[in-house]
Amino acid sequence: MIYELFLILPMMLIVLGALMLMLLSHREAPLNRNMLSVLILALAFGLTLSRLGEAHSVFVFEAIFGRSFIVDSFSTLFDLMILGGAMLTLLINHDYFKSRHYFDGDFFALVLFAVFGMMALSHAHELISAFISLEIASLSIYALVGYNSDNPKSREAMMKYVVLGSLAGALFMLGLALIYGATGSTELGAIAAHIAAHPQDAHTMLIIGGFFVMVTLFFKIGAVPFHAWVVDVYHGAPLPVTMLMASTFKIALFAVILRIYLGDFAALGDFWSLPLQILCVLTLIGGSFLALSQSNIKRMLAGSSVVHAGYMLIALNAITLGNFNASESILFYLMSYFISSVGAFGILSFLAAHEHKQLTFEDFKGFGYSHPYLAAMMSIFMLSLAGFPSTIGFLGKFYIFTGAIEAGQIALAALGIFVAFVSIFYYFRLIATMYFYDTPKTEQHFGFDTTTVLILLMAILSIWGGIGTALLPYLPTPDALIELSRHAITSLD
Amino acid sequence: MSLALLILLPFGSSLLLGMLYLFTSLRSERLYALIGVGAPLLISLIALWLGYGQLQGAESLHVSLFTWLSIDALRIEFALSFDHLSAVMMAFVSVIGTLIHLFAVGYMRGDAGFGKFFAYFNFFMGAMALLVLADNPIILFIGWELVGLASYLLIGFYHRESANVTAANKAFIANRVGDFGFIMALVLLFGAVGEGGFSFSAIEAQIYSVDHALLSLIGVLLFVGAMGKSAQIPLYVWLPDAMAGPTPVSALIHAATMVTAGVYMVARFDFLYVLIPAVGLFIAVIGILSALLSALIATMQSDIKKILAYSTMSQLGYMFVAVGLGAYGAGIFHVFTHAFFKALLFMGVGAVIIALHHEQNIFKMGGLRRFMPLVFYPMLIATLALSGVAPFAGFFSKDAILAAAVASEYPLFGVLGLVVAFLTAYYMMRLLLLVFVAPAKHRHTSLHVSPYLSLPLLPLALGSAVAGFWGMGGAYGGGDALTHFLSLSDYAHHLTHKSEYLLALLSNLIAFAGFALAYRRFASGAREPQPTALFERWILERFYVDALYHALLVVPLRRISLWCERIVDDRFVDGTLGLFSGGYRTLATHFSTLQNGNVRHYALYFLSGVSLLSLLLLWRL
Amino acid sequence: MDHMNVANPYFGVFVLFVLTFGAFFATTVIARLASRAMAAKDTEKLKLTVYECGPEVTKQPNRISPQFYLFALLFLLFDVEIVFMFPWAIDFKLLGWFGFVEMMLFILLLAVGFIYAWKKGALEWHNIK
Repeated sequence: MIYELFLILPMMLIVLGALMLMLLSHREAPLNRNMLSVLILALAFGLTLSRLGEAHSVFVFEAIFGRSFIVDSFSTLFDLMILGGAMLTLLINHDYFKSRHYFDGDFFALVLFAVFGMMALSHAHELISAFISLEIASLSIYALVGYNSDNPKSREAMMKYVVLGSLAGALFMLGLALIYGATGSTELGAIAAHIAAHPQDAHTMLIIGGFFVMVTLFFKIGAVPFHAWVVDVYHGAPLPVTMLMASTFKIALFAVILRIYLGDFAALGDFWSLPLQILCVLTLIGGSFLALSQSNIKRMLAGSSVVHAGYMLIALNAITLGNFNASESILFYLMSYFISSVGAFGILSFLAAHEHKQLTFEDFKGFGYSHPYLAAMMSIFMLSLAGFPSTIGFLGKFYIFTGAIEAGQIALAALGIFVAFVSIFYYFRLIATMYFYDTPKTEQHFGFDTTTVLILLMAILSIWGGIGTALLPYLPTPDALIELSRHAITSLD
Repeated sequence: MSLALLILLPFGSSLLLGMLYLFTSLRSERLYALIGVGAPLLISLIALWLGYGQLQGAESLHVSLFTWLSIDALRIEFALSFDHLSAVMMAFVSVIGTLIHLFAVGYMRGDAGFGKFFAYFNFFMGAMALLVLADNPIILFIGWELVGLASYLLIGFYHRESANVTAANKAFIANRVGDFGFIMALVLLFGAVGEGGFSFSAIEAQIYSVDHALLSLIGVLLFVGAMGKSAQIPLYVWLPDAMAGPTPVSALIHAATMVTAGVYMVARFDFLYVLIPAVGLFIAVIGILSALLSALIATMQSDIKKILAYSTMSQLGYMFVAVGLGAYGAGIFHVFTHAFFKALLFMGVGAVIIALHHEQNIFKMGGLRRFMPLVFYPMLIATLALSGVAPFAGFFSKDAILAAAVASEYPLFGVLGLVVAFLTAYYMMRLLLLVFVAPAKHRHTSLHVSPYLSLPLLPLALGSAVAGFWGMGGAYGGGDALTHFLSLSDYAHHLTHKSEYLLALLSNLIAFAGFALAYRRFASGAREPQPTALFERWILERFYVDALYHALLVVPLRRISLWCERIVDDRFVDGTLGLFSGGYRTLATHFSTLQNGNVRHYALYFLSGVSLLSLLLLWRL
Repeated sequence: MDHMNVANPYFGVFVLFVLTFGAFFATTVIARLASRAMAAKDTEKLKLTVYECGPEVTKQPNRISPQFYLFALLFLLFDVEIVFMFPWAIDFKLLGWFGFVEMMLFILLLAVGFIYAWKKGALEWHNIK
């Protein structure tokens, strides 16, 4: 009992913190709510960290909730990634929060609620709980997207996201009903048992149900053709929210996708692989189209995030074909994408905080001369996102492509590599814009504060993650991250 | 741990200086100088302490800091070792390095890049320490590359002048050619013995199992690396140009320490070269040719620093003769003594250059003895030492090399060595006379020399005078202490005491003959030579080697690059790519029209996606 | 369609679902195309007014304050929660302490929401923040 309480303590902390921030929100008190929420997240992070590396798999309060809620090493790793991601997102936007008047207490309460939803998502071992967690996270994010109600773009983005999101949610419920009808349970273990107990061709309805569930999740990660909202919503949302959606929320979604996939549907791999391959191709090509044709950096990053989802779908497809090692590559890719995209968005947020700009390619002309250090770091992030060797992004792609080739998906891997080459175009376009144009502006002083230090940290991580052999002793290497992911995945079996 | 300190201290202080220089507006020279000189001072204390331990017969130290790489059989430890050879190298590198750092404080005073200079300088010390202390060839190679990098940065230190940048590039490229040989050698060596560990001792243990032909190839390739770093024929062209860097750089890197890395490396691999005497002979031939050629060129140069640069190359040639003929101890002995007097000469020259406001032509100097006795007398000692006059340091080490050459199967090396000695004495005395003794050609009446510039000369002068006694041969009652201490696998050469005295007498006579000739021609001043004879013109134009390289390598390469740029790249590659990328971008524009901002259309895409995928499922089920 | 499982009673639903989407898609496209093709392109000023038939647009006389919707929303929120309390009240003894603690937590959460709404001024008719 006490032990189980201890296991869910991090999530309880987040909820209580959210409630507290909610109640404090009306106060005009000089309270640094950003730091307060970071503190709460850090507490939860510390509590979760103590369990890292320890193999465990416990259904929490099984007598009461049944097997709907699990704490295992898989969810622990994802909790850490989500909490860490949210923490970094809040910290790196420190300057941005200060420069905008509309971030009051409610904002941080909503962020914490969203984090809670994401954590619950990684713990859900039952589809209805998964749905509820997904909706908790999504609802908070809907509200966050439209948070700056003075900005018509922001309001519009929220509206679009709500409409399309509820459409997707409805499909999830439809799929859920079908699955329940086929198996008589929504608990993942029971579904897996059902699949194992029946012959392959008796699963028609289950497959259809699963298909709808997956469509919803693919919608959330922005796979083509369910991607249309991504660019507009990412663009309209306030920068911190865009960061949260692009990185942390995606991590949580992959938590539930991997859990459902590896736990249950992997046995039905034959049926999945074709639709998944089609989705992969569409997502990779469509995403690169999207990213190519944007003139705003935020929109370009949004388009490219679709492409990155496509890479992870390649790995997911490799899993359906039986190469279970590919799941580690997804985890690693999530981390690598997180590091580079948070860094890139961090620079955008830093600039938006200090220079109030639209942040188009035009605005970056001569950036290399006016902000030499930031420009260098931006280049690192772009290189990492493009998957340039000696950055962490390269290793992430490398693992994904080797996983795909091991699963016999040579054509997909080739397409992935091709799209990675295309991505060089739009990432390098930014680098070229930064360095190949003169600027009338003089060099700006580079000051160390929370935001810039974190950006610097992300840049170092991008490089270290790419070349980090044991060059720096006593520090974990990318191998260690992969080892960690492998360890976490084992608890799913 | 103290070994790690030898590496970490200079790198750390370099980083600190670099950070201070880059990120703060601190420009206090005192602070930079304190940090910049403090670090080498500390490491020289440590190195001397450790070296004293070795002298007392302590075990050689081995430290493995961490595993750098571990891929199957490829297991590279980041390991350092401190044995007798590295003790000698480390001791003089750090001590002379410290003195040169001190000198640089005076030399660089008022330069805008003061902090940057010391950051680079300390970086060089760290790299050199890494090179000397490396316990396996890979780490040695890292140090080797890092000193090359430091040298590149420092040659191009005044990077606003394009000639300096060209010189830096030249040095870098010539070294790359050598490094290519070095890398190939390492790869081959690893292929041959890598399975059983790759530290020097492990290689030594397995070396007998390697095929003789392969071993010879490895030996030659390693020496190609040494040619680049130590400026031997044919990769020497960078060294004279490298004098574009500030004078302390020339003293530290291009005279006393870095350029001797090639000799050090060959001595390190003594166990390998002992097995392949034919390659050793090749090394000796290259060495003596380099020595002869550069000594000849030096006799006609008028740039004071270039004379010393060619002299350095010539002395390096001596060292290679020694190691090529298997007299490793003698080679390292000459490295050791040469470091003292060549550093001294460079620093003295630096003081002269500073005093004359960056005048480098010796024919425009003269009569400086009156103004700077504290520079003249140390330089006189160094000149005597370099010319091999007994009993200064250079005499003993040069004599050891000549003795080894005479005693070997090829006494011709000894004869040629004596010719080089004559030329050396001639051009050194020429330099000294023209700068200090001959009637003045300049209008300065009083010249100021900062104590930073002159004081470091004194310990070096002392070193130039007495450093040779450590390695004094048996004939002079010394007993080859240094050679025994180093205990490298020297060939047994034997020369009777009588013939050794004869040799010493001969070489001293020759040196004085050189002095006499120089005195006759230059003591009362001379004009800049206008070459008349064909041979003289050849020498002045440095045998047209640079021009030859330019015509044979640089020009054709540039032509090919231009062709590639204009035809292959522009038409072929870009054309094809342009076709693809243009098409892709057009498609992208069409695709993005779908992104029209209407949520009803978005929902339509969504649902049509769902229905199409449903149809697919329907077909599959 | 070699091993199509027609026996499954829900299969028909699925087919219908697919067809519906097809029909939806077709209808939207056809409607759009047809209206574009057939509609008269008249850009006369009167044509573009809200009420084509004539009356001028005036201010809505019976405007409902937005506060009304807020109240309705809050009412719905708190009222619907009662649904959970009835079954608990009926089976109070059966559910015992566990049920009691559970319900108290639930009410606590509601209370937090209530306080929040109160502090935000959502319950004040005038003076909308």
